[in-house]
Amino acid sequence: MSGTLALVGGGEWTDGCEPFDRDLLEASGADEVLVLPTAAAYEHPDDAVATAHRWFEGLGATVRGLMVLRRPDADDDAHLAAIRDARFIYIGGGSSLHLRSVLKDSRLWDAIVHAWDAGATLAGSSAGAMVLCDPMVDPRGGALTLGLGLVEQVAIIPHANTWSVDKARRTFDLATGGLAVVGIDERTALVRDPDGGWHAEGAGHVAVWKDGHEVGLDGLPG
Amino acid sequence: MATASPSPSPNPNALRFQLDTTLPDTLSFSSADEAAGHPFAAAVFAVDGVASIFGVNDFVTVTRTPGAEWDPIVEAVQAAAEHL
Repeated sequence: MSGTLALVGGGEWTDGCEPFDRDLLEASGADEVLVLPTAAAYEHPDDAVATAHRWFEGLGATVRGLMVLRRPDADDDAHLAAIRDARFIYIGGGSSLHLRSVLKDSRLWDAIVHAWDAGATLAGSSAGAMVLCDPMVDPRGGALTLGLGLVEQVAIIPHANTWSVDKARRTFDLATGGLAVVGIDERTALVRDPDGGWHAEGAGHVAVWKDGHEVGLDGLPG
Repeated sequence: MATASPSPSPNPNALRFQLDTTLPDTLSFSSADEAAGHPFAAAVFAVDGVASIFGVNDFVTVTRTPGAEWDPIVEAVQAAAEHL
């Protein structure tokens, strides 16, 4: 049975995230979080790991940063071993396009999927949430592009409480045929339990849209 | 008597209304015909330009047909909420 999956709308590791981060730690059964700052590769990834360290230390857990920053890093045996041993993997925010380019068709991505399939908890925030699904909202203009497809027929709009209206309009214009567009506010998580059920936690709101109409979480794939 | 406070949503054609009451059941209507038996939803659909209504817990989202005016819809929702 696969592990718990959390799609966070941004603002990770800040006040408001405590309830679901505690739940994710409990679900994982781990006291260490493996943090991938890949999407922040060009925006001080060390700072992202440090922020995560401070945050999870307050929740009684430690953080190990896995510095997968460029494509060759996703083929590093030591990095693959770290993924295989991890019980809680957290992909932080930044550039979803860079993140996708590093992970797509890589051995590291295969290892992440395998770990999640085997029961590890997997979380992705902002860019991390966007790339886990397919299609992916292109952050540059709101069009739909390829994601990594851990969750299919779902496209994530993170930072939904502050997202560009023009980008959102583009996304909704293109999202036909029953594609679920999910708006997730910052410091808010859409969580998929191991049994396939979905629920929302955190400071803000999660909205699911199909063909322009809000439908609720039961409109998500199982 | 409840109040409904509008706020934007990620969908440019939808407004979310925060209620100060909790809905007893989920609302989901895509036409006036579907909403005929629900006083709140029927009142909202009586305004031109309403495409769908979704509500759960303490919020209701109203989706408009593209190009419809928001002001009459907002007024209708806030008036109808008084009967929740």
